[in-house]
Amino acid sequence: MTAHNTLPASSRELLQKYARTLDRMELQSRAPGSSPGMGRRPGTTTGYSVEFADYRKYNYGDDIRYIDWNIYARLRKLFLRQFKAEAEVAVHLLLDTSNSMSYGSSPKLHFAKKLAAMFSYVGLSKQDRVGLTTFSDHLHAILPPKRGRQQLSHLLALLEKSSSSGASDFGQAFKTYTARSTSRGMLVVLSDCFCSDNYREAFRCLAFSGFEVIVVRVLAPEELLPELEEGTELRDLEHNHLRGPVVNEELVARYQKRMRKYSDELSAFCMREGFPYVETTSSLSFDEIMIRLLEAGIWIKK
Amino acid sequence: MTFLNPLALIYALSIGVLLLLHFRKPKKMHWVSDLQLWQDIEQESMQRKSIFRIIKRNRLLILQILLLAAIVLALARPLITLWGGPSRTLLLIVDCSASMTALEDGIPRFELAREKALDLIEDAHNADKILLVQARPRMNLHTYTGSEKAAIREALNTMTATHGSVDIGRIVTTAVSSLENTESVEIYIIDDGTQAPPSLNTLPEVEVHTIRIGKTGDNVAIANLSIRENPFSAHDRQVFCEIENFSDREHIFPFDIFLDGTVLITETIRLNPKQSERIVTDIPAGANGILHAVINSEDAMEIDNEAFAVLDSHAMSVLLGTSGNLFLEKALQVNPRIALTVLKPEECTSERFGRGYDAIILDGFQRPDLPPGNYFLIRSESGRTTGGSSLRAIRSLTSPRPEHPILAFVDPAGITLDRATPLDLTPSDAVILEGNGYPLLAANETGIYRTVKLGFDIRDSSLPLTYAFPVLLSNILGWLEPEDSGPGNQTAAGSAIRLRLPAYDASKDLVVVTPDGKTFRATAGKGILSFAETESTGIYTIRYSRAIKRFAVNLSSRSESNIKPVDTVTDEHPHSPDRPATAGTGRETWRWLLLASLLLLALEWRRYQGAA
Repeated sequence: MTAHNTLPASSRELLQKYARTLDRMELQSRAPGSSPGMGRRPGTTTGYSVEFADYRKYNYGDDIRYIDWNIYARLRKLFLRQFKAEAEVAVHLLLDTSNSMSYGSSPKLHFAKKLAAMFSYVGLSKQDRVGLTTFSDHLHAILPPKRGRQQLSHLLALLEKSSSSGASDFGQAFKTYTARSTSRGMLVVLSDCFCSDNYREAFRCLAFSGFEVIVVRVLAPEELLPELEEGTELRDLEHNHLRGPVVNEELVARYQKRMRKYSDELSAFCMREGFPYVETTSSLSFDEIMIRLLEAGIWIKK
Repeated sequence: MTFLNPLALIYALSIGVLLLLHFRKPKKMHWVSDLQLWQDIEQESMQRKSIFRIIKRNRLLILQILLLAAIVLALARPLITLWGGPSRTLLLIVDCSASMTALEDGIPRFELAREKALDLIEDAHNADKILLVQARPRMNLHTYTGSEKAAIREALNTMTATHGSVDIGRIVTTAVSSLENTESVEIYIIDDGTQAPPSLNTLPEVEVHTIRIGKTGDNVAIANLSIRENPFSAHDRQVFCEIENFSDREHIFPFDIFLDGTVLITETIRLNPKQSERIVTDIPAGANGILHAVINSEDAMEIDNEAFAVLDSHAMSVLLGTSGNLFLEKALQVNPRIALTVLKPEECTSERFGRGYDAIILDGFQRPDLPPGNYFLIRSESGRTTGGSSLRAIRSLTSPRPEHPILAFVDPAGITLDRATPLDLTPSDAVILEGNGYPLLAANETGIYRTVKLGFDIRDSSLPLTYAFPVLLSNILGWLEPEDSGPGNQTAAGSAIRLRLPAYDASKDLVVVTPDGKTFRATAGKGILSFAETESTGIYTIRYSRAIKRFAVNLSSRSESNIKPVDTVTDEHPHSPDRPATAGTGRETWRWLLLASLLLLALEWRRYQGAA
């Protein structure tokens, strides 16, 4: 990683620095135009965009401005030109702010906030509605999806004041969110995915409720390659300093294996369910983040 | 497997200390984001737990325990019998008494004994356990194995004969009692045969072999040298010397006594076989120094041809505090062994008392808080009133302890009193004299200090007019400051001596220098020195608190001077006839254990560095 690519300290600086790059990005939705509106996405129905969709026979009462007179000249029949409708996507950002997210020499929560800011900027710049909710075992703060520059300010303000607390409970948090959310669309979960309950059921619950789930996992480098002195006693940051086992060389080796296995299981689950999944570490540079998001097909470059 | 130093196994307690430290060691803490994965792993480990896993997990601790165990075992010196039959225990007792310094054809008996002992050692098997006993006044025992021949040879070569007397029978009994079991035990006693062989009837299974070195009996000895009072002059002393011919031939030899190098007496003595002669001569009045008696006889033993005594007759310093007592002052002044200081009662201060007087006499007055010392209190008990009810016209005194040294040569029956005050007694007071049933003279001994209390003024009695008065006074002062180990400050070689050290300061070093120049540091509890390292004859010097005191050590043992063997039969069987030809080979394993501990230490260090 070079100094050039090091992420700035705050989300605002990040957006200022990489605005041009982010302007060329777009969130790729698998269900385009799910909600008709003023968005830039093609809708599933016909509408009033400039993009041609089809012809149909003229009926009484149709707007004569859309009659294709060239066809009338050849066929002596009136046909009407139809255009694709414009649609918008609601982007729901769910940011895990449980205690475990404060772990790491470069805390995972700071990194996740920057990711959320990037998602927000990219969504809002494409006229999508973007909302942000922070959660641990319950929902902490909810900013419903909206469009516009004002929403970006609100999103950044909420990100700045968010801090870690509580233990994560995906099942409870997601259930509450689906009940409270009136719109559906893309739902990006930014979390380390260390949850005591069954994360599979929680993610399926979101998908069943109509959300297009995207999982962005944030880890600290120390979680992947722990450097622990033998005889060290572990304490749990998430669950009120719960005492854990005493470390030895064998335990560390087995942890690394277990960690890889857990990541593989999570990745395989997401693939099976059709959830785009990307794993990041808080030490990644901007370029590396971009590459991973593009490779996962979560973002596309226009 | 047996242990040559089983006491070292007590160091195994250090393993417990190690475990205690291990489990009480404060652990470092490290925060992790979530314990879920760690706990899953630990749970799996618990399910698959095996001894191997436990060992693997605690490798460092196990290495440390093994390291300690190896060191403790090495210290305990395990002996492993590799093959073959049973091993023997050889108890090798070498006589180191004074009679072993006698010459046999120009060679000291002890050298001959040493050669015999070395021969026995060479014949020992590796599996044999060898107990080498030096039969000295203070017995010395070392344990070896047959494989340690070099160490035993070195021990034998550094061994020397003492100038003290030894009871071989007692040494054998003590050495045998130190054995764990008496099976396969063979005792070899190498001595000169001057003592009857010890009886071990209670241990019939023990083989006892005696190797007698002594043959000759040609010896003339100074059997006794002592200082005594002159029976014709109370204040003069005499030297008494007894010379005895233990040999079977006549001896004519010169005899001299020197006092600090000055000849006191010199004469030629002729002694028939088994004859002794006593020589007595006066010592000049007030003379001090070292008496050295020497005979120039051509005999087999040298150390009893001379004897020493120390004349240390310093005047006894006495402080008399009185407002005027002619009888008392005169009686003390006429005694040439007393350096008297007379003070008025008002001059008797604690500062004056603290000037190191051997005895202090307070006549008829009190002083509160008397400093520690020897006191003769005449109607002046400190801290206690003497105003009890007075007794009048006591016609006779009686004594509940007529054998007390204070009453030696004193007949109290003839003493009459005009008036007296009964003594207030403490539990430690011993009543010496009573009048009409009331205590009038008592003695008290507390630690090294003594006190005598008299309940009447001697001027109110007939005591000064009787011959008993100076005797009683002399007895009292003699009891207050007794002489050390008898006149001449001497003791027998190998015996402990007990000496009072005046003005001893415990905060300063006390060093005893032996005749051969060795120094011993010692302490004198309560001002009394007990010293037992007296295996050499000659003059010993005690240096303490800028003072010097000497004492003499002489052989003074007729049994040692009489070097003629009572038994010359040698029963020497280095090899037991029923002993199997292929005896087991014992091997000490402490070297291997030490090597193993070094390897374990290296392994532990490597493991520790790896873990860190």
